[in-house]
Amino acid sequence: MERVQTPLAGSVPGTTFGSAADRTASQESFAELLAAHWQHAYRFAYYLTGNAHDSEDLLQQAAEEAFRAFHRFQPGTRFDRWLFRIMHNSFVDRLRRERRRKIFSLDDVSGAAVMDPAAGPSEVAEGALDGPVLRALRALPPDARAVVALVDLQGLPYDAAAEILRCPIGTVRSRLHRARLALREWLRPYVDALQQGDL
Amino acid sequence: MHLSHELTAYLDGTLTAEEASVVAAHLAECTECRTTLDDLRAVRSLLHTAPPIRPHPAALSRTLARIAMVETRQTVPQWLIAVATMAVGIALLLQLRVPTAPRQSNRVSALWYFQQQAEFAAVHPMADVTLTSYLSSALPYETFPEWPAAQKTR
Repeated sequence: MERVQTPLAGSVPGTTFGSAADRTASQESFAELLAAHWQHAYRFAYYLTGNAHDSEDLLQQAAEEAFRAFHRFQPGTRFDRWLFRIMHNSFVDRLRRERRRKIFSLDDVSGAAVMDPAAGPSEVAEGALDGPVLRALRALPPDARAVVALVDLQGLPYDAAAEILRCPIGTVRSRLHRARLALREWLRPYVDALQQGDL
Repeated sequence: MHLSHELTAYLDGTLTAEEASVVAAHLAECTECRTTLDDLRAVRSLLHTAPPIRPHPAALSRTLARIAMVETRQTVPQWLIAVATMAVGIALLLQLRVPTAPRQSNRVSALWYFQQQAEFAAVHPMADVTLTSYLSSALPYETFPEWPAAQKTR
């Protein structure tokens, strides 16, 4: 049996506050924490939004909201998870606004558009697999995409994902399972190639 | 009866020992669930090939600069905002003050009136619109005896 979940910030310094005095130095402390978790936060934003422009915009908004609410941050808790939760809330709000405007809905995107039928697994050069995987990720519904991003791509355990997404662990597990089954179908040629040792 | 999300949890090692042994016993007898488990493992491996996404080098500094502006906005004292609001209100009241129109309808008093308005407008530029509106409605036509004649000749 494999275990892949590792704490997100285990190797990142400044994950938690050491003392109450640190808490009062708001901007400097916040800047340090944000810088320490910047890469992870950006990656999560990118997996949620699917492009660089929107991910930077989302992270900017989340960082500002987190800074305004920084006085409510609990010392001794994980800053990265707190920031991720704020960012996910912002992302869900954006989706709702976009749905109201009827511009587009990520839920309407089907997996049929994920794969390029002309490109077989044998044509996939090393590193070029990123495209199909990210396209398949974007084709998932937002809630499933968030779970895959947190658990499979960021390496967070189920309980952390549940805390960030404000849902029970059982929901994380079932969403993750459905998402992986959908990805299996959309990435079928690559799954088969991987199992046959061609990748 | 096949397994569902237990397979994902089993793959990720999040089941209890008791639950995991039940799943393992099922997998020993069910080819279809074993195939699904292998597929899920392959999907997970493919996801791990996702590229290391990196932000723009200047993105962090831009965000910190925006946050510094947020803090600057937040540090403006409430009393200063109240005083500024009151000052703006008083200024607006002064701008809207309009002198009363002359009661005498002769040319001299009308010229005096416009002179007063011109001086007032020079000091209070925002009153122009108010003055125009006021004059068009309140000023009697006989203030300008030549005006109707000029209109007739047109």
